[in-house]
Amino acid sequence: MSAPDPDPLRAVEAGFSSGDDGALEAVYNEYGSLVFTYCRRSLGPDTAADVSQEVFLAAWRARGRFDPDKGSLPGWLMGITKNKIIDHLRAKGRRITTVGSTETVEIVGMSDEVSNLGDRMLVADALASLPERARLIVEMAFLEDLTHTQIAERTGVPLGTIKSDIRRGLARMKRNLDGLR
Amino acid sequence: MSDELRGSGDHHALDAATIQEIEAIAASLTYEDLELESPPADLWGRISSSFDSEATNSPTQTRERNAPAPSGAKVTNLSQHSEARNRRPRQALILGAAAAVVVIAAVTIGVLVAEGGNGEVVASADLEPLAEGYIGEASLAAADQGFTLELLLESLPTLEESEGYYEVWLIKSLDTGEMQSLGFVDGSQDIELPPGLNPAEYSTVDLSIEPLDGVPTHSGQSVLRGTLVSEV
Repeated sequence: MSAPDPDPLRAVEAGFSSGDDGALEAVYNEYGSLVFTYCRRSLGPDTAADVSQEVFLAAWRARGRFDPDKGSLPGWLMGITKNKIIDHLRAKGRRITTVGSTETVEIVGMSDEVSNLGDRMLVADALASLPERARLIVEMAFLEDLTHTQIAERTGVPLGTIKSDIRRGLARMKRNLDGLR
Repeated sequence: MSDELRGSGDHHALDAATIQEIEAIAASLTYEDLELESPPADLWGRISSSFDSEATNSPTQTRERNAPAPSGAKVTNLSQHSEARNRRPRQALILGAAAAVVVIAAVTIGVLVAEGGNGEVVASADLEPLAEGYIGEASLAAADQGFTLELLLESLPTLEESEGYYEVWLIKSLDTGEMQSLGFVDGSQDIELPPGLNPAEYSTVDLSIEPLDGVPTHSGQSVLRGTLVSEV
């Protein structure tokens, strides 16, 4: 078909979809920490490894349903992880038994927190994948809340470059989040 | 826009509502969100032993977040060019009062050529539009026998036949006019650099409109220009 894809992460996605030998290990090497950290920060240290294991097993079994056109592989994986985390929280009986609709509200609140954490971690993963300069500029824009002008003053990087780096960063974030939804 | 924004083949640009949603999430990031925790060392073993050997039979792959991309040294004409994603460990960007962006050192390029490249992007240039309607960037990748210039033209107005063609150049000095043509292009493309051409010297990427007047020199009508900057 075309020339070898220069993007190693796309190669990991393609190998995973095809069910290649060693593909799951490559996916684990790339995204194991992301999945584990999400589990750990949602569930605590004791069960994080168990739930992470369930995620990778489920992901492998469902690999035929991963569509790289609909979003990134980390996004898809984190979607599976979110569902496993919420299932686990429910199974552990974390809901507080109260009268009326308070029980429902508690579960929704918990789901929101888990969901928000997953979104943030995927955005952080997209950020980490950017080239050096773009990553630092995106960090300055979103974590340090600097304006484009302030970033330009501090780095000497032209404003146009800053805007295009941020646009590129947003595109990466979108691809990650699309996989989750 | 790049194919990353196009999604599943639909050509909608990143719409405003999505931008706001993503920016809101990005603005809520904390530095803790950027730090990942490593799973226990035996976790992969536990996962793989849950399967029959089919899923996991492979030579041990060490985790390489900086794994170089396979070489794309052939000249290819790509209408959609996916950006190389090279994850790198956190390094401080050296900031100075003046232009702080580091230009390629000749020594660095020399070392890369001697060792033989692997497709890794070693430099990139954001191309500044010098006329309306142009958006582009360029990356320099180390290939087997030299370098490949990966030209990504996200917005390139179509030229009338009478207007001429687009030509890409590597310029050593705008003052002396020392430059090398890399030929005509009509869209994003990977171009193998001629072996003798040192991109550390000829580091300004330029796209021009060239009329068909039989004059081989640069028309002076540049539409995109930028300087290659080291990523290493």
